Amino acid sequence: MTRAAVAGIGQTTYAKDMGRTELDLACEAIQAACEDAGLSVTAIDGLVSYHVEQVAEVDLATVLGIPDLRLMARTPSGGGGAASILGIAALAVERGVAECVVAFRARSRSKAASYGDDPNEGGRPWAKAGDRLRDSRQWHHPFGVAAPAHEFALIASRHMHVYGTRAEHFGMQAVAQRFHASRNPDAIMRNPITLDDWRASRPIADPIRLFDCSLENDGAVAVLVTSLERARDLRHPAVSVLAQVQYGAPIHTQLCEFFGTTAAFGERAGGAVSASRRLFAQAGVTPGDVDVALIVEPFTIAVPLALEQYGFCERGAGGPFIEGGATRWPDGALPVNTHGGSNGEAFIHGVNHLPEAVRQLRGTACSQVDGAELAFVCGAISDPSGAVLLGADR
Amino acid sequence: MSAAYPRPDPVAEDDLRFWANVAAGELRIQRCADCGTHRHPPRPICAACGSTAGDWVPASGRGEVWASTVIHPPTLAAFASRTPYAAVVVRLEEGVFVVGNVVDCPPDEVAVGMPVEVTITEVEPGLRLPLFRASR
Repeated sequence: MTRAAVAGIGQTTYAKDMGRTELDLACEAIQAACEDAGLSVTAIDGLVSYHVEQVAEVDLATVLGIPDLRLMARTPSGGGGAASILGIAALAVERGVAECVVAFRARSRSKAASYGDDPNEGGRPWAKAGDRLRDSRQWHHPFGVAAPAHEFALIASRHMHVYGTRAEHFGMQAVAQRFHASRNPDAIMRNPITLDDWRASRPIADPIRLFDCSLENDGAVAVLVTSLERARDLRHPAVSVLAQVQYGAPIHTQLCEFFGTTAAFGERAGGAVSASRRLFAQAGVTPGDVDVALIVEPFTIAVPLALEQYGFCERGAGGPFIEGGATRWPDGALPVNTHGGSNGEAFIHGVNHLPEAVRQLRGTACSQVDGAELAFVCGAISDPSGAVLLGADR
Repeated sequence: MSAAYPRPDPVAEDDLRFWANVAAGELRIQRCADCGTHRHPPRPICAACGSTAGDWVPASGRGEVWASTVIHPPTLAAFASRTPYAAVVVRLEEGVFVVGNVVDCPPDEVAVGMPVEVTITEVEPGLRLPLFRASR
């Protein structure tokens, strides 16, 4: 079987209210990924994105001049699919369905730049739900539970109750990521914070504070996946896709199902737990072999949840793992979100975590993990989600 | 004049039935007529056995706060003037989970593990919701 590799990464500037359309941003990121690889955009024959993505494949093909699209695929949810879009691109390449697949995400939260009034387009989706509730929002909104922060706060409260996790554990991860962001010229938040700063940041939904939250910004990211053989002839060292998994799971926007059908933290988590095992088995490695982790975190609570689910620490031990400094570059045993993550670099629904994993394995990250050879990326926990393992080609 | 309260306005038959029961002052939950498994939110099929035969049975109304938060701005416009307010997920005795609010209790006193019981409450004219209060 052909092995897949990441050959190109591209991103726009990340900023608030850029006043550009999502199509415009997506095109810039995709062109940048092709330029990074040293390939023409006409080489692209596959596009993978989230189901909430507003930029249509047909528009990209027209605007960029892509002549021969052979694969178009979307994966459920937003941040849950951040690793999955890369995984699907790799599957297509491995099977020979396409040879040059771009996984991308573009976001414009500035309403003036948005097309139409789709709830996923511009502004905050939950704030545009209206007062007539037809879908699953009817089980949340009448009780004032609407924003993802509210839902993740409820999930966090259960973790704290069951395992003794403290709100400060989330704050410590926020501080670590803001330190990483301070070293990254592309990050929106360049000033580091202390735990006292975190404590002083305003409460959003207890235990979540403002500094635990992903940023609201515009921007786009693209990664280009091709065969390892071809990638070796391109501009940068190839980064192999060693393993990919997805798993179906209830989403935080449906809390009755979330707490009911998969106990939140693994007691009956079924698909999520088996996905973790499948991931490391595919690559023939263990969590202890991973050099750097990129964990998509709409809120910092997602970091300990992922560390536990994927076996980087025991169930319930995510808080103390963070408290011990393990996730902080450069001395931590497993630096997490070395670009600054969603509360420091930018929030592109987690897809900006993919190029950072590639930079780490190329040896070009701002906060470079010495000799990094194995990187882990996972989508947000509490969604249908997935993960990939990426390896340096040496 | 505060913003319009977000109201359930479903089209699915099972959803309509749930809210009609609440409007009549009752919390009823679907129960599989074949295997007896309760399910919520309402849906046409029992995920445990695949049966489409279901009954609407009165819930005991008793449960335990399974998850809890106190919500600060920003939030839905209709709730902006109430912040900070508590929101909870309650595990009912029947084993299903519902989102709700706890009434007659300061937000910071609502805690995970707290026993609660349902109280069908008219939150504004013509809108009744299944809310909770601390069990007596």
